[in-house]
Amino acid sequence: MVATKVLTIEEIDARATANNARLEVINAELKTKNDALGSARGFQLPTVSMIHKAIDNLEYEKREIEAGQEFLAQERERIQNATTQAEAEAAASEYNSMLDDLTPRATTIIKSLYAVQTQLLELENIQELMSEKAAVAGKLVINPAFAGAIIIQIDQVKANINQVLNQIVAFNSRELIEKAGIEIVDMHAERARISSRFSFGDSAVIGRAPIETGSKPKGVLYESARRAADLPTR
Amino acid sequence: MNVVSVDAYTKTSKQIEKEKNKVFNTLAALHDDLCELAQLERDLEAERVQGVTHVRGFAHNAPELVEHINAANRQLVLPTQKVWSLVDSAIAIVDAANKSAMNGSVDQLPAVFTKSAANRLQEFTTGQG
Repeated sequence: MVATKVLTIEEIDARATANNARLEVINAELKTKNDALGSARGFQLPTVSMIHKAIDNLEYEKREIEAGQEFLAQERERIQNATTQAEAEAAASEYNSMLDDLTPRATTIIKSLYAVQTQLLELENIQELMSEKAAVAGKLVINPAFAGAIIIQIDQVKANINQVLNQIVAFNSRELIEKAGIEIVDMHAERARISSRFSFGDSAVIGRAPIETGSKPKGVLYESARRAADLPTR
Repeated sequence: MNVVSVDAYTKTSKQIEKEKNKVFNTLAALHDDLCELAQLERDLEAERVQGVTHVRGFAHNAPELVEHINAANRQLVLPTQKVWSLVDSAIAIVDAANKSAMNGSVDQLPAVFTKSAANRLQEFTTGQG
């Protein structure tokens, strides 16, 4: 395989300039010769023949140079496009890796949103159970539902997170969300699941009660949860 | 009647506190993740603009990129600003509820809860809190 030198744009431009200069000279010479032929009525045949031959040679050289110029122009465009291609590919590669980073991050965020929703349900459940316990104990102790010194407005925070999750499900299809490995949590079922078990401090964990499905009025514990927490059933 | 000991209440109070901390930490993590995502989206946009303006014939020269963008458009989309706004409201609700002079426990909250709303917004929009 013969290695051919790849010209740079600068080299191509230099050659093209030289070629143009040569073309100007050829054109001038052709004009001189043609003018000479026009006034060559008195010339001898060999002289006319020589002029014709010179014109032929000049025209041949002119065609060669013009073909060369065309080749140089094509080569110039090809090299320029190749540079642009390399730039585009570098940009594409950078962009692709950034794009690939988006979905896992979005997935993490959505999973965290579902996690915080479940955590709020857990918290709400413990607080409700503690309120009930306090009532049973004759309100002898401060309602421990608010025992954690920092206050969370559970309902408001939960409403916000719910709104976010609804928007995300609306924005994407359920299929797309599940395809990303996210389990869409049914909050009613999750609430029932959480309510069905009870942990009273670290002292007693009472077995899992059967899950009761369906919505329930706010602030009313499931009977199963009441039983599990040793609270009187209604 | 059930007898509920004060000790049991204390233990459960701790359990409640633990559950609350989980919520606070998750909200703080969400805020951080959303800020990072917003930064990534800004970088991506800058890259896209650069690609379109500085690389001649972007679609022509990098057809695989255009294909990738189209594929990406079919991937999971998070309305980042909307999500952040609602998460920030949740943080603001906790922040407001704990501003009371009676409650001196704000120091226990993750750092994001002690930042002003303007700071949180700045962190989300510019990456500098």
